[in-house]
Amino acid sequence: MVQSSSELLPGTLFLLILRTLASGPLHGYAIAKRIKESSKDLLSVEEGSLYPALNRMLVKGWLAAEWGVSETNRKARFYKLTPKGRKELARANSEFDRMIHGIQLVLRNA
Amino acid sequence: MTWWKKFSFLRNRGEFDADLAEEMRLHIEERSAELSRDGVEPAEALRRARAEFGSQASLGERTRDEWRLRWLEDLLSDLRYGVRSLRRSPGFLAAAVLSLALGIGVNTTLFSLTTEFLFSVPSVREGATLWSARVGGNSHIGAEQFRFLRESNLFQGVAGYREDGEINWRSNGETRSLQAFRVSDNLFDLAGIPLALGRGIQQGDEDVVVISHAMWRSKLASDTDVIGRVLELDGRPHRVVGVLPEDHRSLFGFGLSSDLYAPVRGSLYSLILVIRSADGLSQSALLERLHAAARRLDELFPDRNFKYVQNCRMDALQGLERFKGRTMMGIAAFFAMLLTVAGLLLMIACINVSNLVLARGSARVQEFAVRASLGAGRWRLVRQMLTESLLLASAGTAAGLAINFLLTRMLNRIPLDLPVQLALRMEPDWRLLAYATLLAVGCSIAVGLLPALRISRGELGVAMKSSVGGRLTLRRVLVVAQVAVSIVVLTAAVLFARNLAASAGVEPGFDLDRTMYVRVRLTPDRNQDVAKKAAYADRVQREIEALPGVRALALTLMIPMNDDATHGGSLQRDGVGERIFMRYHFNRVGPGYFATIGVPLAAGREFAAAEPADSIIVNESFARQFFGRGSPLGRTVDKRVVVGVVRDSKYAYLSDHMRPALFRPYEAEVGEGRGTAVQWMVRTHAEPAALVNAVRARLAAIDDSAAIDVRPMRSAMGMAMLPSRVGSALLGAMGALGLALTGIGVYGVLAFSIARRIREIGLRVALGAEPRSVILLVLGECASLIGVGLGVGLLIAVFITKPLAAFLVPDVSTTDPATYAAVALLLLGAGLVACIVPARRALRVDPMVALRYE
Repeated sequence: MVQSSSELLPGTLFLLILRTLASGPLHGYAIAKRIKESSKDLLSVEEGSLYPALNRMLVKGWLAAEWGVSETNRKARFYKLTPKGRKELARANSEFDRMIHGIQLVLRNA
Repeated sequence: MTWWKKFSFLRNRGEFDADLAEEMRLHIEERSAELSRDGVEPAEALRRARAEFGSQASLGERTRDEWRLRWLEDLLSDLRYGVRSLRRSPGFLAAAVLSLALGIGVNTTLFSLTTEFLFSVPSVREGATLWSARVGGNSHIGAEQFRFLRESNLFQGVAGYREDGEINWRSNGETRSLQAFRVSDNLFDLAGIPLALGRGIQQGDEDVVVISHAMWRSKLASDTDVIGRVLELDGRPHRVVGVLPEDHRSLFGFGLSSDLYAPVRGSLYSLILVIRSADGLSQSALLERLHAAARRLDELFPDRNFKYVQNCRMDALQGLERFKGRTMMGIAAFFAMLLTVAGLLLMIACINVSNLVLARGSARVQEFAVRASLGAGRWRLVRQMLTESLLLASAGTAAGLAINFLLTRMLNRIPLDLPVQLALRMEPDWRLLAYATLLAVGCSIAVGLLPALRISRGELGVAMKSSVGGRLTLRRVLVVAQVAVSIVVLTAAVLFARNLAASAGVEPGFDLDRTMYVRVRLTPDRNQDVAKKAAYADRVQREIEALPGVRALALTLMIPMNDDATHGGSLQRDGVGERIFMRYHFNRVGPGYFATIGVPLAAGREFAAAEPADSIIVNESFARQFFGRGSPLGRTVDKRVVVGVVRDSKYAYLSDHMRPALFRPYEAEVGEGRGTAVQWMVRTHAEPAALVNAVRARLAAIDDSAAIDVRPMRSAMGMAMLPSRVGSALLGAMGALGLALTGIGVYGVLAFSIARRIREIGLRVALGAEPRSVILLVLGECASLIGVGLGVGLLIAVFITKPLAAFLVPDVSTTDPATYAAVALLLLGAGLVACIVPARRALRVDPMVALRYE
């Protein structure tokens, strides 16, 4: 299991968060949980990386945040993709594909 | 964008922290709830959730970091620190801000003056598509040619105006001349000139006027019912249809203004062309069209010696090109010189403050050493120093702008004694703000960089242990530089002061004490008719000559030192050979003119009563340049016969020196603008001032609709004296300021250096030194500072002030040793004054106190 974001490829944490939010707004804890579940517990995002990352993405304008009510009926801060964030998701996605493809080529042929 | 988000974060920091705390609490609660669902008991679940989450404080810190605008936060903290630190030394703050404020106040005021005089924007709508045009190289175009261009449809619109019109206003039994812009009836609409009251002049308007705000206020007592009021102008009733706003600036620029605007009358006039172009047409495309129009004019108005198509110009109304080919170049150079001197003055002020900062810096060495040992990097310390100097410069600039507002308000109101109306309306605008900002940044670097680098550089460990820091060398170098720069400024000031004195004493080559001028502007029904004008002139000649006290009077087209005409052209000598290019002063004068004003004849005779039209008189410079040696009498210039040669005199400016001049017999003509007037020079037996009223009364009795102006020549030198008066006033003020600032600079360094030598002086006194030798010690210190600066400065000044010769009368030379002696004396005097306080302090040193010092 990959524990910390520092062991992810650079920029991958942003990509994961963007992708997770593509299906709708979520609060911080739900994002971490969703990533964990979707990766069948292979990836887990540490709180210590999650919140700084979310805030950096807010600064960059990829995400917007607003206060709402969670499924457990508590006040929670929901993050959602902005149009700029969607564009970034598409860009990062294809960038990631190219990188994986490259890595595979190296692994196969080198 | 990003930084703006960060900036708003800076303001809502508390809210952000609360939000983040809430978010983290939710995260932990959700996690512990999840653990509970998996069967962990609640208290344990919460503990585990907390442990998994890790340090909330550290997470909060890292999350906040994402939002930080580091440079801004650092800047704010530097500023806070700087303000605190400056407030602790109010004396230093006051001295520094005052120095900079004076330097910047003078600088920005001259800047305002320059932008207003040279670059003011005329009051028009959409100035970008307005052009001023010339055909055939002439500034004005005749009425017929103007009508052709106006109807040509080559441009979106063609209008015109004449800038030197006059109109006689008769009210309460008195006639006076008003300055008037004569305009084509479409000018107001075409240029979109804004009005304060009423309307502009419209197509088909006759006998209406638009008056200036100043005329409305001062001559019509701000009459609120002024629209529709009838004024008797040039013998006809004119209706006031509009009043211009107070900030109206004429199309002509250079501050030229008038009492009123009136439509052109009759069919004899010439105008400056104003063209409105369609959007997006380039200057070259427009010039192409103008050329086409000029070629058409050449076909319609053929002239063997003149082609409209030559020297056509199309200048943007607001552009810099307006200066090309105008006499304005000299004035622009004058302003450039003033700004340069003001720049030097600011340099002196900056050196002063820089020196103060250095002095303060040596007192702050310990503070910086402590900060450095606590981990502040060198760059951080430099930045702190620069921030403080930025604070100083900003405060200085703010105070300087306040000085600017006061000075410009004052200067706007100073009336100028000139034959034309100049109205400067200096007001703060974006240009001034941009310039002031530039000065502030420049000053903060000039003031702060040297001390900052110096203080932050090494030796801090040593400094911590000792309370006396830094050597004095850099400060000495700065004071020497300051003395040198102030010598340049002072030299300019002294040169202009001598210029003023020389101008006042200058002999114009004619008699100033027994002459006066008489200027009469007749109403158009008289001045547009050559026969009536000539008859009027004859009658005046007879009746004024008969007045007791009058010795002679003679007609002249130009009043010396008030009017000027420069002709230039290729002239043929004695009807043979190559033409010779001459530039010369031109005038038409009546019989006995030279005897009347007191210019001696060198050869030949004056014009007689019925002089043939092809007779001319030239001055000696003309004769020498054109004919060389030998008598010019009887020889010809373009087939005109020289009948007399007169001695050189000044014609329009005191700087006229060996200026060639050519005179033709006076001839009544219709004339235009200022040329519509009839003018005489009068010679009196005694003081002419006593005769002014008698002459006026006599003239009023002859024609009470004429505007009469009579002045003794001695007091009518306004135009000629203006450059030297303005120059000496401005440069004198700057020189005095520079001297004072330098004195303060010398004093500062002396006081500091004496304070450092108190122990030494105490020892000397204890060992029996006389007061005399203590004073000599201080004087020696002072002399070494000023001496070196003096040497360097004088050397620079000799070279750098050479171009000033262009603004000085010929009698004042830029290399005259007397000037430099005066400058050196002034500086030595200032240095001596600067010595007084330090010397007294040195004399009062008590040996015991001094020895126990430290």
